[in-house]
Order: sequence, then structure tokens, then C-alpha cells
Amino acid sequence: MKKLFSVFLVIGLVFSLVGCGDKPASASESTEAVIEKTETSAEPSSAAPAEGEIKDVYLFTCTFRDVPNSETVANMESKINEIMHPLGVNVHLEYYNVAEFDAEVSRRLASGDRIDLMNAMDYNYAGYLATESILPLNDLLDNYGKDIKAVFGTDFKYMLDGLTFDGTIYGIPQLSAKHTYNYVLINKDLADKYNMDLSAIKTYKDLEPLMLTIKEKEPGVKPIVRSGITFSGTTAACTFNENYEAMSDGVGVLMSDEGYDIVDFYETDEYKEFLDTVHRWYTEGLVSDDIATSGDRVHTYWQTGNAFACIDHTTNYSAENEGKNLTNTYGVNSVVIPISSPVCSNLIYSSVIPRTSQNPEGAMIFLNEMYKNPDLVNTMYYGVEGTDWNMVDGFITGVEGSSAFLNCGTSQPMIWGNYFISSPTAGNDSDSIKKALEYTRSGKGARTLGFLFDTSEVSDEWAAIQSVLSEYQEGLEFGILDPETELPKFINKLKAAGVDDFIAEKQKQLDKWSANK
Amino acid sequence: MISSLRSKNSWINGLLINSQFLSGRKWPAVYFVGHISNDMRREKKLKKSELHLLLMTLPGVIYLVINNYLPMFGIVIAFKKINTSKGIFRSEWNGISNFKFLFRSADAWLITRNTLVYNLVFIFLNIFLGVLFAILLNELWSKTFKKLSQTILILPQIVSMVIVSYMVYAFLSSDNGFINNSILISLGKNKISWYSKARYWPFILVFIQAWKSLGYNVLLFLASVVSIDSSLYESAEIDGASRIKQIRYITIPLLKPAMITLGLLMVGRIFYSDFGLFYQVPMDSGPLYPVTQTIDTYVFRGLSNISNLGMAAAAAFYQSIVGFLVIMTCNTVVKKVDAENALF
Repeated sequence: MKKLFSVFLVIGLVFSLVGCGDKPASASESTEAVIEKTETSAEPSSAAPAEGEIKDVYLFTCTFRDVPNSETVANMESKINEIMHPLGVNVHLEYYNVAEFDAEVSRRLASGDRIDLMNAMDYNYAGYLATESILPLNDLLDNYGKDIKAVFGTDFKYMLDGLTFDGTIYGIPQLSAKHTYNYVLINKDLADKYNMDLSAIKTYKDLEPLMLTIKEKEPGVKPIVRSGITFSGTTAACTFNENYEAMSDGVGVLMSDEGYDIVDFYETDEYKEFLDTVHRWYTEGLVSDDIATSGDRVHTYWQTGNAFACIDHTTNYSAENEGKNLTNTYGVNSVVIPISSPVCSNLIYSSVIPRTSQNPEGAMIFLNEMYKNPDLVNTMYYGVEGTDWNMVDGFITGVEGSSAFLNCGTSQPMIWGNYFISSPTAGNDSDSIKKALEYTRSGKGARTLGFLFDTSEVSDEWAAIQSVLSEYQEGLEFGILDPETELPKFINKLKAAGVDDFIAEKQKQLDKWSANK
Repeated sequence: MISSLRSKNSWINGLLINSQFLSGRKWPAVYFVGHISNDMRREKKLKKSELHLLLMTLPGVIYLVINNYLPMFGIVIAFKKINTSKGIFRSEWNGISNFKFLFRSADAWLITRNTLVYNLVFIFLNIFLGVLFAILLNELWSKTFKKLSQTILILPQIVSMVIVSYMVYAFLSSDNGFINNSILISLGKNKISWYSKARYWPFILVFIQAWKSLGYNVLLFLASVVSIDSSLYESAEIDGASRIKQIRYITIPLLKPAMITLGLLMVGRIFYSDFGLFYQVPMDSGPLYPVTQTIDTYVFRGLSNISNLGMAAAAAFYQSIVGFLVIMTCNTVVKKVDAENALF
């Protein structure tokens, strides 16, 4: 008896190990049973495939803050599916923090796991193309995405063109204000306390005397905090050169508005000047020693009121409005001072259908709705009306403690669908969305918008360059390393990693692209 | 007496197997299976009553096959230009170009040196400290104190490296760190920005590694120490040997096989590094790279943003091949010098 028992125990153990890998597959069966009779009364769209048949769409999206909790997600799914079931689509939402999104997606795509629709960042786009991990969308767009085409029309056609590669479109750009400018964020209470003249700030360098005052008089306050991987969120924003075009990787860049001659960004005078400035800040004690290692960014410090300045970038149609938003978000009086003019240099977020999709049609039907149905867009952006937010005087007003409003509301309006059909949130002007549309309509795309650099020919150089960047970028751009001695080492290591070949390849592709333009 | 020792020994062996699942180290399973099959050979015939004992190794064996043998087919990925839509076997061959980026860096030598030297230091230190503490623990006569010390020693082993990295950060950070704000300031010295001064880190990393793995190594050697026949010590005592002499002439020589086995197994992984230790603990700080960059971190930093399967597989392939060559060489040397203690 004992013997028999132990044999079963062993067999049980083995099967429990094997059983671990299974994916929950129950979702698709159960949903079909859930469809209620009432939904048949809703008018089915002409685009829906077979009537009554509802297919799953697994949607992946990233958030900038925490992932909303599972209860919230379930609520949002049921609200979204109320809208989508008549069109034959049942949406499943899966959120990942932006920090783990890339790794999760590439792991899933590599192992062939199902993703029907996901957002892509511009810097991943070329990689997806090189590995052929995303589907061409031309036919899907013609059949199921008529409203998307109509929305982009002629005004925003350059955005669709921006994701078109040799006549084939692979991604649908998210539609919102795309024109970015850099700004300096100042704690107004502190500035007023010491009678600072903020109108004198024209570039990031003008911050120095103000920060020195703060360091001297307010020892508990951090004179400057970081907003991203470097002070200004992206390396691109460090240059403060109006003609700068990063073209996704930011290593081989354009620095003038004539011709298409790519230069190594890290060898430019502008970069050296920036490094000299921040290194001086560091030696003057304006920059915290922990700035590179702690990972704490502006949103950690700003709400405590113990931070004075920050360099960041935004797509907000007016700096005044951005200041108002930040004051609301952090509860600290904030001023935003623009230090560059707006340019649309990349499309940042777009929606793509991976090759592992089992329902590309459904994904496109959902995407199409995201560009025309305000209810769907509001739900996707801010959560369920009545639970997560209420409409007060025409403004979406978040319910205290709503995970969806906080975590989706800070990211999804920049990632999915047509922002211009969503409703304004409280704290904005009532015509803020109209103004944002005008702001976007009046802006133009960068000269190289739509050029995608395929790194597959120089992939070993690119990998080696990435490794060098991770060694020097933070140290140099936070001013911790002395550019006099370390910048030449950095440049030499980049050369050893093959940056010249990398740029030559990029130049070759850019020349070909610009000739066909 | 002997039977009680043996039961104690087998209890510790059982513990080892449990801890190998906890810690993710793969080799004690092999070690254990090897021991069983040796016993079997000695008894020539497999008794029916022992069949279920053998069956108990099945989960371990299946685990080994699934996790360590099946993925070996993945070696082909290292030589292919992987295209996810075509799949692994239909993707085009790429020759050795996936390996190029490993040697593209100006620091290729530095990275290799870091990996090798750190691991050599770890191997010697781990064996030395493991033996030292195992002997010391064995000399303790208070059972409660012995158990307590053992528990305290093994605790760091189960703490994740990410947590360790924040414990270290609590000591070393500039704004709130304990050393800078409580010790250096009260001594009237200037703050040290630890995370940008590379010269301290070889010592910090070696200390953390030793602290973290000590309990585990002690356990391995303690298993050997307690299995030494006590009659040896009794006769030595009659001959008038002191405690120190007993340790020197009985314990350490009898521990030699365990030291060699453990050393050889560690040598096999000499081209791998503890990613948590070298990436998380220094908080991925750029200025520390000259002393913290190892093959694993280099590969991660190069490939984490561009998800190139082929190059990642090439790096792993390179590490395993070199590890394989190193272990074969060491084993041959051991075989020549002391045939009994060779692994195979």
C-alpha cells in the first residue's frame, strides 16, 4: 500500500510540473455564452464579419505608472465589450508597465504567443520590420479601417506616410498632438520667494544662477531633478538645436536643415557644450550624487515641493496650460517655460498587429472604432463612466482612488486611438481639445519623418554601441563624469564599436530614401 | 554510532536536494543521482523495495531533460538570422556573424578578465570560507548555538539579489546612505560617492558574494565533515593529537575530495557571472563598468533594447563551450595528479 502510494506521489509530482506551462484558454469559450440577447438590438456595423459571431482580440498596452488592478480591468473590458460585441469583437486588455513592456512583447513574439493588437514605440518599429514580426495593414485598412483613413485625411497624411515602408503600411499612428518642444519646469513658490525673473530664461543654461541661489538659501531643496534617462527625458532634447533630427537611434543625426549629411551626435560641439554645462552644475553641487543610481524622477520629488527645477518636453498646445496641468497633478505651484519651438520628429506611439495575431480583422475593427467612437475612446483612456470618472460640466472628473483614471489616464491618451474625439479632463480649458487639434494641424513633420533605419545589416555594431552608451551616457549627461577626460574615451569606444560603419549604413539608407521622396 | 552518523548524513543530503530547487543550482541533482547509482552497483541487484526510491529521482531527471537537454537544439539559433515569422529551422543561416559583436567592444579583454578573475576569487574564497566555517561549526558543542549560527549563515542565500542591492544602497547612497551620513560625517570626513568610484567595488562585490553564498557552501562541507568516521579522531586523541592537529591531519585531508568536486563544478561555470551581483548591486552605474562589466552584463546591455535572439544565443554558446573546455582541462589535470578525485 505504502509503495503504491509513493508511486502515485511521484507521478503526481511529474504531472504537476508539466501542467504549469498551460495557458488559460477558457476565456474564448466562456465569452460566447456571456453575450446577452439585448445586444442584438444594437445596430451591427457593416464591417462586422459573420453576424452573431464574436471573436477574441487580445490587446497589449503599456502604462507609464502602475498597471491598473484586475478588478478595474475586468470592469473596463465589460464596458468596452458592450460597445464591441455588436461588431463581433471581444476585447481582452493586458497592461504592462513601460519598463517591462518591451521585454514582455519580444519574449511573447519570439515564442509565438498570441497578441492580436498592441502598441509599438517608434524605436521598436524598425526592429519589428526587420524580424517581420508585424503584419502589413494595407488590405485590413481598406476593408475594416475606412474611418481611420478618413480621420487622417490629407491634414495628417504625413503621419500615415511616416509608418509606410516601400508602399506598405505596418502601423497606425496614434492621433494626438505630436509636436514636441522642450521646457523648463520651475517651482513657482520658490521662485517668488527669492524674486526670480523667470522671463530671463531662454535656454537651459540660464537656470544656473537661479539654482545657485536655491542651493545657498534652501539646503533641503534639490536644485534640479531628472525627468527621464537624462535631465531632459531624451538625449534628443539635450541638443537644443532647432535643426536636430534624431531619426530614432539618436547616434547618427542631422544637425542642419540643408542636405542629408548624418553626423555622429556625440562628436558635435553642441553635445560637448551641454556636457561641460552639466558637469559644472555637478561640481557646484547642484546635481545630487544619487541622481543616476536612485532612479527617482521628477514625479517623486515634485509633489514634496522640495525640488526647484526640471527640464522636460511636452506636446501640450500651450505652455501655460501645461503649467496648470502640472500644478494640478502635483499640488505644487508650477511654471512651464518653453525653450524650443515645436516639431513633430517622430510618431512615438502607434498601433500594430503582430504576426502572432489570430484575429487581425477583429483587431482592425477595434482600432477603427478607436478613431471614431468617443465612448470607446473615453473608456479606454479613463475607465468606466460612473465608476472611474463622472462627467461634470462637460469635463471628465476622476473618482478619488480610481486605478483606471490614474494609471490609464496618464498613458492611454498618448498611446491609443484618436485623442481629438475624447472629452477634456477637469482642470483643462473647455476648448483644450479643439486647441490641441489646431496646434497639431498647424505643425509640420520633421524632414526625415517616415525614414526608418533598418539596423539588420549593422546589428553587431548596433549592439556594441548600445553597450557603450549604457556605460557613458548617464555618467556624462548627469555631469558626474568629467567630459575633458571621459568624452574622448567615450568617442573612442564608440569608434571601436563600429559607429562609423553604423553611420555609413544609415547614410546609405537615408540617401536612398531621400532620393525616392 | 556509525548508523546515526549515516542517518545524519542522509538528512543533510536530503536538505541539499531541497535547497538546490530553492537556489536554482543544478548540479546537486546529478551528484545525488550519481550517489544512488553507485550504491546500486555495489548491491548489484535492484531490490524491488527500492524501486520507488529510484522513481523518486524521476521528477529530477525529467526536470534535467526538459531544462538542460532539450534546449540544446537551440544551439542552431546562434548560427541563424532569426526571423520569427519563419521560425527557427526555416530562418537563414548566418555563419559566425552573430559572434562578432562579442569582440566588437574595445573592452573585450577587460570583460573577459573581469569574468574570469572574479570567478577565480569566488571559487577560492568560497571553498576556503566554506571549509573554515564548516570545521568551526562542527567544533561547537552547544546544539542550540550551532543551529542558530547555521540558520544565520544560510539566510542571505534566500534573499534575492534585487533586495540585496537595495540593502547595499541603504548603506552607500549619498543622500540617505548609512555610511556617508552616519559614519563618515561623524568622523569628520567627506562623503564618498560610492556609485561613481570604481576602485572600491571589487572588494564590495567579493564581500557580498562571500556573505551571500557562505551558508550554502558551509552546508556542503558540513555534510562531509560529519560523515568522517569518529574512530579516527578517537585514536588520534589516544595518540595525543591536539584539536588543531586533528583538523590538520584528519579533517582537511578527508575534505579534499569534496573541495575538488565543488571546485571543478564551479570552474565549469567560470565564464558565467551572477547577473544580479554584477548588474543589480552596482545599480547599473556607468562609471563602475570597468570593474563590474562581465560577459553576461555586456550581452544584456547590448541586446536588451534590440532583442536579437541570434546574438544572445551566440553569447550563451560561447560561454558554454569555453566552460566545457575549462572543465575538461581541469578534470584531466586532476586525473593526472589524483585519479580518485576526478569528476569522471
